[in-house]
Amino acid sequence: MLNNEQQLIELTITQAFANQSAGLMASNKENIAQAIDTAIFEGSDILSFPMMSLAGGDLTQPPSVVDNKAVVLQLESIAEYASYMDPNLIISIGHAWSVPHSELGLKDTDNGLLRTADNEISAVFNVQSIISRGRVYAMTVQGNHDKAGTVYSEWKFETLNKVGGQNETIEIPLGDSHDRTGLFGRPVLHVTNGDIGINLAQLIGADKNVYSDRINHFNENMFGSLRKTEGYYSDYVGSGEGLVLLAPNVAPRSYRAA
Amino acid sequence: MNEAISQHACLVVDTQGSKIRLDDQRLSGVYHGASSLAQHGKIITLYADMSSQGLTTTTHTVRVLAAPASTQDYAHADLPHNFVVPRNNIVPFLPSGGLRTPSLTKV
Repeated sequence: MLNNEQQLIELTITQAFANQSAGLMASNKENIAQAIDTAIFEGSDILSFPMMSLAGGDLTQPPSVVDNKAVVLQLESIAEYASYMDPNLIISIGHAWSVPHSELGLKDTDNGLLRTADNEISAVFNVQSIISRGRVYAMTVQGNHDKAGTVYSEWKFETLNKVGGQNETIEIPLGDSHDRTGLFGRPVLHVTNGDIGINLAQLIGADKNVYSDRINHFNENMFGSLRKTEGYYSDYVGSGEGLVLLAPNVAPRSYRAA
Repeated sequence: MNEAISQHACLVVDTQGSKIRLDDQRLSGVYHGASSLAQHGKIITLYADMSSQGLTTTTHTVRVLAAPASTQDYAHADLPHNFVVPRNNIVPFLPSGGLRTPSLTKV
């Protein structure tokens, strides 16, 4: 039962599945553009893609090098296309993202020994970006993997307590000149018209399978993060209503280009 | 387009295929967690159709309880490693436009 102060909003959400192919960016972007066109045609507010939909591939076939700059260019290109068609469409799309061990306070002998485009030893994370209006706003990082053998790193407390940030979230530069930044970790995006809004968060893959009532286990996933500050979500984001959780999972199997 | 009109405090958009069993124990975490966060205890979950080839889209329209507009600030502070700490991780973005106008019309 709604009281007088509670308001309803209507959201239209498009979920897109495309069997993206690793290494075939041209056809992958064609699928993404078609999904954007469909979402806009249907009047959607949010377009949600599965994990790793930007460049294809899966967690068992990680790239040997992750070029963050190229990822940002692709994301911004998609965001600009969508913005030209409809500036209010919000897109969630997955990709890999590398962070040098030196910036994470990790030793080079720690797990996740992949390299950035600058040939630095780095951790590589499974990330889901939220883009809109021609820019990248935030990247949610997967904290739990349920498959043994993946070399993707987990966004865990042992890493988080070395990088600082708040609520398992830091801010990272997205461009060389630091003119563009984005949130990285477990962001909550408050989307509003100045009167009412929604709080948008993401749970990636196995993160959604992890839940604990134990307040000290805030490092487990977004739920823990939402609960830890003063205990509960409503204290954390200012309201117990309007929570929209996107839970991207695996896409249909993708194939590495020959 | 499918349309599901309901009044829920929490919306979960799950890209797992609709063929996944809803009582799968592996999924219990998200329902438990979302239910505990939703003050009114109700969640709605949207599932996507999966395709083995090509592109498949599924669109739903739902009604959810709105959050009041946040007035919290968002601050930057320099840190080592070129990282900057948000004072909180709430980003009041799209302040002038927000979602498309019809979506934020009270219903």
